Amino acid sequence: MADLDREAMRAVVERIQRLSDEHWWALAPSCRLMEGDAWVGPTGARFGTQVNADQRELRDLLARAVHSARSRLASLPGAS
Amino acid sequence: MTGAEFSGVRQPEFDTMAGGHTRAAGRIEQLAESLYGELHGAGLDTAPALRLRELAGRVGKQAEDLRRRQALIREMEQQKISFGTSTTAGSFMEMPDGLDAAQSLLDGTLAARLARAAADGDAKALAGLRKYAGRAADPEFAGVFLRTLGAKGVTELPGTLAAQLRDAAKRGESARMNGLSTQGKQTLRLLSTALAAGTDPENRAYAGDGFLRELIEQGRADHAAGGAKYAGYQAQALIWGAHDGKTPFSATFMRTVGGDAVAYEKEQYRRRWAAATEYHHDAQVSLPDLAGALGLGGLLRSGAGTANPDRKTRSSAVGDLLHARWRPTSTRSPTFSSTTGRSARPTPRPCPTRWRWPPATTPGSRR
Repeated sequence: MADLDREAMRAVVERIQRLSDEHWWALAPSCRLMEGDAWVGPTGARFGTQVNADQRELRDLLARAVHSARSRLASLPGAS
Repeated sequence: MTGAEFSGVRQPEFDTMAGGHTRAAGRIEQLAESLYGELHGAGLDTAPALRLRELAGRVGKQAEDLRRRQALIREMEQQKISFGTSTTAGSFMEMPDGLDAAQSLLDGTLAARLARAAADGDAKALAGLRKYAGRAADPEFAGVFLRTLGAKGVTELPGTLAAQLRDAAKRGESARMNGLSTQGKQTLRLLSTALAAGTDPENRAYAGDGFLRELIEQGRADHAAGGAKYAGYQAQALIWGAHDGKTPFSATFMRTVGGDAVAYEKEQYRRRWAAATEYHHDAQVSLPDLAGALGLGGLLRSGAGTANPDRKTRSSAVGDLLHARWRPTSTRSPTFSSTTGRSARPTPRPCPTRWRWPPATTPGSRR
């Protein structure tokens, strides 16, 4: 499994990048609506804070996955 | 724009968010699965995918909360229940901050509406009240329920129950009688639990000093149901007695409403004494509750082992409250001032402490 050739790894990087692109904004609508006071009050405020933190974590994890795939690709011998 | 205490939602934005967040949870879950496959297949660290799965779980829970709140909002809108004023800042709908409190407010309001309709004789509403039997212990529910129903409704519901039972008994409709007896006991228990909480200044459900005063007003007022006239206290007494043996009512309630009921009973007794010597043999008879006055036996009493209408019992309105017991004896007439009992009826009823008004505690002082 770890011995994917460069082409296969490039494809993996592309798919992971696509997953990242497709989900980068998954929590953005909730964050935007909360900024627009869709729900106010102490519990609503906690939710707003949490959903922003969740969005940061989502993006951080996506970035980490992309980065780790790209690093692996870069480390492979440049055959072609 | 909004005060610190304001809690509410803006529509349709909140609905949009509840739907969007639910879809986001599903998408992140899918993402975690796909990413795990890619990372694992390439021999890479799968930690990001595993953490995404946890994140998806959290977002899913948030979405669930949003949908629960959304369902409550919809029902509140349908039932035309509004909690306070809307702000000038647009289409805000005010609602309690906590989901449970919002649910209690909704349930308490709906239950009070059913109770009011049941007090007006609506059999379906009475049956519908059953759903709320387990809710009375919740202070938020009890407070809203009592304030919405009001002291008049609290007083008249037991009165109507008693009158309906008497009507069923008179017509010999035993099935209806059994149904009414069961529903009546459940309803009285609900009222008792809620009323005990709502009249205790130390309880979060406390409905205020004004509510105690209204109970007294309604207790002294004459009411009528199904052709029977009764004093409010006689009906309230059915609520006081609807417990397992240990009265749930607070010292404040005993001192105020209970104290006034004792005073009222004495006044009534003096009036009867002065008006009719024929009752002289009954000099110590106390004001019976409605079950006693209407000859309903144990049909409305939780503690009574039997719902046998032939077993006529007499119960003192005040005695039940102060001693949590009643004295079976015989009575036939549907008016509380008449009895066929013999004179040998000991009624050792200690005089309660003097009634003081207003109660020592004022609303808010101990909350």
